[in-house]
Amino acid sequence: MSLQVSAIDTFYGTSHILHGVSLEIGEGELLAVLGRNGAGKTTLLRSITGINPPRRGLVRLDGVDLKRLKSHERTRLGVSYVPQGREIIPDLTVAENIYVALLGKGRKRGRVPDLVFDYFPALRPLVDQKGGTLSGGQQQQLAIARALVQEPKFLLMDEPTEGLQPSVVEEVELIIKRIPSERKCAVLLVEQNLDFVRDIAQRFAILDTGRIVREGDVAGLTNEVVQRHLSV
Amino acid sequence: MTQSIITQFLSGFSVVAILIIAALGLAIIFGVAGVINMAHGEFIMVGAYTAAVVGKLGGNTLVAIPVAFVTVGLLGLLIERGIVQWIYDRPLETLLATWGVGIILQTVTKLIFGPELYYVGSPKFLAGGFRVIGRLPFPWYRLFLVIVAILLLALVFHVIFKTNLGLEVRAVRRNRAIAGCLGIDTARVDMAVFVFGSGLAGIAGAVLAPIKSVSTAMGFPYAVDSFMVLVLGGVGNLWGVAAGAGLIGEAETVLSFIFNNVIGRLLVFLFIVVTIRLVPKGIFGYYERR
Repeated sequence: MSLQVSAIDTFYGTSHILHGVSLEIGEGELLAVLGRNGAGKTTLLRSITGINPPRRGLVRLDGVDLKRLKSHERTRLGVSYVPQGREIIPDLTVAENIYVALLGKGRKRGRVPDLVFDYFPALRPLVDQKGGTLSGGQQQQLAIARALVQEPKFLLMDEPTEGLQPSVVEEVELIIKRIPSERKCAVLLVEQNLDFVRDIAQRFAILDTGRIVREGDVAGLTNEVVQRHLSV
Repeated sequence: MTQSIITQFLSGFSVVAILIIAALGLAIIFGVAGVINMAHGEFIMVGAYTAAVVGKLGGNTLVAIPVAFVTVGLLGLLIERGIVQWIYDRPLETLLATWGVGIILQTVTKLIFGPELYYVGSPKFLAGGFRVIGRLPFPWYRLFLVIVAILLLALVFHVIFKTNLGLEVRAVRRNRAIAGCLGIDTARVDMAVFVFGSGLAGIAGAVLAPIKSVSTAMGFPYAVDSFMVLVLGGVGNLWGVAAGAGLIGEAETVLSFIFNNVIGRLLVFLFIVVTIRLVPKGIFGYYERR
């Protein structure tokens, strides 16, 4: 099981954002993508999900070329996405947000799976509450839960701790740490918190102005590398 | 005078009902798929001709309703698959394309049915009327329209809030890209919405046929009224349809009685202009107009 990104070039209109980006991630792995603001991290995830498909290059899932597949088809093949800013559907209740994810995976609406409350017990009393009324931390929990009920092979997470208060950050980090082994899925994590990345990732890749400038085992994420590629 | 105005207010319910029936299909298509369907009036017109054909074959309005829903729904499917699906993200082009479709539908209908007007009778059991307050008669068929409007609103609310399709529709309406990433086939949702909205326009034509001569140009005034309802009530919220129709229908009826039809309509237009100046997204609107 692998997700391969091979030499992709992605554009927003005429702006060339990603330049020949390649990376690969396999089962149970957690790959952290780092980079300064505007380096192209979110664009990389959006290229994989199909929101902004690359103009050149390939994205392959278990050898299947995703080029002609739309976002929903990629999701059904096993790619789930926790977007930056959570992007909870605010008009829908917590339960309905989960149901949308279940329907999207071709499952029945039924009831909210226990898995959601196993990981996020705080969501149980909120199931009938509108997503838009939740706190940032609760929305982040819902965004992750929404992706997990799809039983993804590959989970793409875009700065899941961004904008959360420190106590909630710890809680979310603990959950993310459990996901690869417990859910048997690979995680591609865009994250700014270097300590967190060093703690949970096996490998890292650093994007700089749309190019991968450094990658390797997380042990190689030294202060010198950080100083050179990530400090502002 | 006060009693007369109250009577007019009550009779205004049927105008409100007509506006709701006419606008629902447009509201669904505009609110979810984001398509300003300029052929909406012609969809209503095709529904009315369907009712005329059903009438010729011996059926009444109750038979015409499902037949018009299916006929115009299929027409909507054809137009969505053939044209609209390729230009969803280009509003100006959808506007022009659906306008062109409207012209084609008018022309083809005229070629098939000729330029003469068709009359569709109301069902026999709805003939006559009753008196509300004072001497003003209230036809049974107008009461039937009020009931149809309530039922259609209930149907649309049910579909949107109680079905899987409705859940997908609400997700797509709010965040298309993320809904896609959650596995929702947004193109299928758009298609379903376009077909459902077209079918509703067909029902509108079928039930409005008995109160208006059926002609190829009959849809235009309904389309204008429908757009007014959406502009005032707001796009993207079904309560907006009810509110917009309620305000316009009642205001026009009562003001037309106090002044005359022309001044009544003029004042309603003025009211709409002032309202959208103060509340740009409409009373219940979700989308900001730009």
